Amino acid sequence: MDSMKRFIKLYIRPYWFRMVMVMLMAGVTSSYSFLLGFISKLTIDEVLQIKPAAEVASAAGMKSLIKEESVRPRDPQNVLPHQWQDGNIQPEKSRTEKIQWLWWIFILYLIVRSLFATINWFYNYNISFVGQRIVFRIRLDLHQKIQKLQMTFFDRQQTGKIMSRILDDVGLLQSEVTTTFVETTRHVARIIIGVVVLLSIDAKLAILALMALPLYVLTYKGFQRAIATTFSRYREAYADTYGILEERVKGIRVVLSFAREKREFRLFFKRLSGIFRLGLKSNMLSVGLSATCALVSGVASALIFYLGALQVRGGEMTLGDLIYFNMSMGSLFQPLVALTNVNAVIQQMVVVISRVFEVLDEDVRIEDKADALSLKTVHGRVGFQDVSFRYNESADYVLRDLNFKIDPGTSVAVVGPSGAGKSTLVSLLMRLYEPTEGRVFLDDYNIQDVRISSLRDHLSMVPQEPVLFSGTIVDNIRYGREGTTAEQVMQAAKSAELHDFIMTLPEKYEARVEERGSNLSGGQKQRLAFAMALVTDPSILILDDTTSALDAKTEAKIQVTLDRIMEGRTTLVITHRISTAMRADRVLVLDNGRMVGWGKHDELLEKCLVYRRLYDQQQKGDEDRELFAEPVEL
Amino acid sequence: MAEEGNIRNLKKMLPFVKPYVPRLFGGFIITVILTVIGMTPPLIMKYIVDDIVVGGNWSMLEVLLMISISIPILTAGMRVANTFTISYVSHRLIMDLRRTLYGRLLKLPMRFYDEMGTGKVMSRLMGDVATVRSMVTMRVLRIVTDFITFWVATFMCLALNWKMGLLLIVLLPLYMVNYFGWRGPIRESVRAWRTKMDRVSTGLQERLSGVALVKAYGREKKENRAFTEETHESLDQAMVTAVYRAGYNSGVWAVSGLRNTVIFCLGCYFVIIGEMTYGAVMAFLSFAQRMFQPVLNITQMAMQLQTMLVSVERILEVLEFPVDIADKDHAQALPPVKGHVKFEDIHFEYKAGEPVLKGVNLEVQPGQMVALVGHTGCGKTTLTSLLMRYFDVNRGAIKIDGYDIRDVKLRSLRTQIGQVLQDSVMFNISIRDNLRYGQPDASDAALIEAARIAEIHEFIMRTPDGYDTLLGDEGIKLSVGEKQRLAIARAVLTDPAILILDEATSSLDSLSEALIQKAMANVLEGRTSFAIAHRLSTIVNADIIVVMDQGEIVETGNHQELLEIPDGKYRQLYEQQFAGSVSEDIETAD
Ligand SMILES: Nc1ncnc2c1ncn2[C@@H]1O[C@H](COP(=O)(O)OP(=O)(O)OP(=O)(O)O)[C@@H](O)[C@H]1O
Ligand SMILES: Nc1ncnc2c1ncn2[C@@H]1O[C@H](COP(=O)(O)OP(=O)(O)OP(=O)(O)O)[C@@H](O)[C@H]1O
Ligand SMILES: [Mg+2]
Ligand SMILES: [Mg+2]
Repeated sequence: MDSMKRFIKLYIRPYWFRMVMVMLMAGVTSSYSFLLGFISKLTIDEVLQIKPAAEVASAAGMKSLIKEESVRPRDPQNVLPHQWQDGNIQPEKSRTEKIQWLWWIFILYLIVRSLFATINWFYNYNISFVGQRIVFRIRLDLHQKIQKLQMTFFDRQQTGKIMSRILDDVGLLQSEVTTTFVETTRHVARIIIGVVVLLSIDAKLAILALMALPLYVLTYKGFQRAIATTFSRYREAYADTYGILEERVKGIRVVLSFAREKREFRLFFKRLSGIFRLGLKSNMLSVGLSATCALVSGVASALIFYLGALQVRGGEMTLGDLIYFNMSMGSLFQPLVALTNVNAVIQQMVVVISRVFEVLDEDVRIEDKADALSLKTVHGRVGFQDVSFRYNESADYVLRDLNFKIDPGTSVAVVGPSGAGKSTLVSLLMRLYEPTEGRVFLDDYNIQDVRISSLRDHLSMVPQEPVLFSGTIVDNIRYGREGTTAEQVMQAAKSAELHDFIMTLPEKYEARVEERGSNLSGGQKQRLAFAMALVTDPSILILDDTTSALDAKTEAKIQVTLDRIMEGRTTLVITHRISTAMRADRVLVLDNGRMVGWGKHDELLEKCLVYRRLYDQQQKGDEDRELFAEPVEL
Repeated sequence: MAEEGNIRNLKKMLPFVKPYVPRLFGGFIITVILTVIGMTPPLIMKYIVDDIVVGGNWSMLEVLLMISISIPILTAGMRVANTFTISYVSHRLIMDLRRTLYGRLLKLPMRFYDEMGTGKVMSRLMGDVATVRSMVTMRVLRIVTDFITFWVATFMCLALNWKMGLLLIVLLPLYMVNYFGWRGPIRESVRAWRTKMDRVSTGLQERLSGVALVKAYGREKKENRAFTEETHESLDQAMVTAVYRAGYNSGVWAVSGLRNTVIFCLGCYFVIIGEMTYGAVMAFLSFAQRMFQPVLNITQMAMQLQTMLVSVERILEVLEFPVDIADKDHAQALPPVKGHVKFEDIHFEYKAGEPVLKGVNLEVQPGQMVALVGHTGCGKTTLTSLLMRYFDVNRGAIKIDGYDIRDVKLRSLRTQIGQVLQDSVMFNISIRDNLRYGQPDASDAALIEAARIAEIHEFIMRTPDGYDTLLGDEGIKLSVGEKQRLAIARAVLTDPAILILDEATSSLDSLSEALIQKAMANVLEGRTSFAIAHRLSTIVNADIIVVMDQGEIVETGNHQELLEIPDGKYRQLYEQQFAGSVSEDIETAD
């Protein structure tokens, strides 16, 4: 319920005026059915002046229920003046008088109706207005939050789940949230008015009618918990399935390549059956609740009506009052049944809302400090001081005690076996993660004191696995820096050796890139990601194994560009090729999270065993080739 | 007309409802009974007012009490039973639909995924199916109830007072006017809204999967702005829909208000002139309500029908996407493969008019290792995709052991070819299950053997739960090289007759690469294999080296033969790489 309160405070309050208006309208409209009941009473007692008859021991009374002719309309004039409440006998009106009165009733009726139709329009409109806007706000907040959250959050959550949360769950809110709130007011108002009306018509009967209320409470209590838990399990199962499905759709090539369709299908079927069972159960619980409530109200109103009829017979009540009472009682019980439904909905909403808050409350551990600095220019000095890092508390350290300084404008190659922590190292510099211990410096600032956006403005990274978006080629290249000219885009594409390929496409730079670049070859994707980083012209450039998918010729060409780009710019190049490492001013050798070598290529050859071995292996490869290359052998 | 086409689409959903017809029929009977019972209260009321109260026939009061009490008791049970039927069928239906869709998805060609994208596929499978469900079942029974209710109520109204009955019938078309007036705008705006929501979800999906990039470029603000804009558009559209809907609803209110007012006052007039009893007026009002409600339901249903038709259409996009890559009618299973592969004049294009492969001819003897080299984008991956039959060739044929791959069962083809893809994708399950993905009943010994070959066993043993360690979303918890090695192990484990390695070691350091290569040499012994690599050192030992350029094979032969071609492509590539390291040596020697 706490989350509900927060929800109201955060999302409903900004619209309090409209909400109040809507609720007022709801309150007003709730009197509608009672007004109609009152008009009926007026008509019966005052205009038509229908009065109950004395006991007629007629066996032929119940000739037929349906045949109209069999029940002879009674000429009102002939009804004997009643013997009830002596002295309170109203004079019979003449027929013309009655018709005149009827006209008034007609006008009254029309006014009430048209008034309510108008209110209804405003009511409907405003409800959607508020509802849509609340959902809009929640979605934005969620999105903003997710953008802010550190990478560790995404390591834990499946993006599919997040998606399902944002879109489906909140979509559910959209249809329910305001209606539920407002309808609740309407129901409550109706119940209050109903109680007052009933009491004012006949206190004794009213008290009897109200005795049905505890039964409602009991029924509701009986079902409530089961409904809540079932529903939340249902949503959970749904979100899980969503996540799995998404993963499969994305990895469809793997599914197909192993011909796993049958198994996948069975697995999915199993999950669907789970959803099926929970969904059915959830529905049955809801209907159980509402059917029980309907039963209670049905029996209760029949009994009360019976008692009322007895009163009419005894002359303690007019027929109009009985009808009025009956109609009002219906209007009172109906919201009670509806309220139990509302409660089921509220239960569901609480589940959804707590999920939303679960995401919103996720600790943003990587956040700008209040007095964070904005860096105008960056020289490009990078320092790691006693940096250790692990991805989470339970895991091993991935990086241990890193200490090194990179001077502005120098290039550093990072080498080491796969899994040594190279990519992790650069993501610390990008502040995608925060070091567990130690500090990372940019120029002489601890990067934790720098605004994240300003930090990342000066740094550009080409990720190891190219990430592309659906859109055009130019959209993708521009992603790194908005507002770049076509000239700059083309320059970047040329530097990345992509221009020639682009020009072979019919739409050139406007050619479409599908989701995750699925219509490009591996090397094309890599080069596109490269162009994306180049266009930002960063102070510090980070390349994470960006030539792994390129052929020798293209790589050599890119290397030439790189030499130019690296000139006077701090560059970190992660690579597996010693030939690339040799070109850098400094080489950093990582092994199993530790820095085992730091220095120039030839220094390292002598003092760093890991580097030496990597080098030898590649030399050996070269020797092999030389062996083959020597035609002299023949 | 477009709309007719839409309605016809609905028919295509019928097969999904069919298995539940008996159940629905049971539900139908209960519904009829419920409907009939639902008709009695106005009559009881009329009797009480006219005969008992005004007529003075008080002795009947207790009888009627019993009747009125028994009605809710009877109906409560039936309502539960009815809801059970409806819920059962509707949830089953959703399940069947999703199942069928998923089954279909697994059969669809790669082209479908390239065109549609994950977000759209997801919204069809999850969202649209839900929309269809609520319509198909709830409404099917609703129609029945409505039909009965309408006719009974009309009859009763005419019987109670034919003059007022006729008046009612005259008022009925007003609903239609209201409905047809709003239908067009509502439909249009719903459609527009859906399209916009689609955009929102696709955009979101991509931003989430590329979250590292979003962060790396500090794009959070811009992404938020873009998202705001997209959501805002869908919001505006939703408001337009809301205005129309509110308009429609008010129209309904106005019409029914008018009806009740006229009927009530007219009825009272008849009471005054003695043509009707008051009880009859009350009953008439109730029946009038019951007569109009179905009409209202049907018009409302027609509105929702529009929403549903859109969903149906989108579902059909998946269901009716041509499966051009499927088993032929009399396809045989491919017998155990020896490994003879022949590409005969292969022509292929992804998009019409942009040929990617232009006449590839290649014959591979069993057990040979083929290396594919060439500039990036020349069609190497495409050639292997054709062998796996992700796409069908436009011209020419691929034959394995003499069988055209289009004539054999897909499953038998793909299970005998192992493939390590250029991008390694892992699922969010344990390492063990990932490795066993292609061979679910592989023994632990075989598992470890494969992991050893791929040089990943030691890493796995270092993870907290060893082989039972769960991988994060898309294997995010692994380094790229680790993923690649897992992918190699996964393919090796299936013990395929033909192995395709698409840049399988591109992200590995040279030491691991050399180790894997040594281990793989044993595995490849006697198997036909295709290796794509840019680092030529890894493929010098291949039996055939195929040099491709712009979708054509320009040179074939072994390493030595190719080097002997003066100015040959291979020679150029080789020298390029060789020169790279030589010049480095010279530089460092200085
Ligand atoms: N799904 C697709 N839809 C449309 N075009 C595609 C698709 N996949 C690849 N292409 C295009 O076909 C050409 C050949 O691509 P392919 O992936 O076969 O190249 P490759 O030789 O494997 O290159 P690389 O070494 O870079 O991986 C490229 O120009 C690419 O843009
Ligand atoms: N998000 C993560 N959560 C937990 N562990 C991770 C995560 N990302 C990487 N790791 C682990 O941290 C270690 C270092 O990973 P990293 O990606 O830095 O390696 P790398 O040196 O870049 O390797 P490669 O050359 O294969 O890309 C690996 O053992 C990996 O399993
Ligand atoms: Mg890495
Ligand atoms: Mg490729």
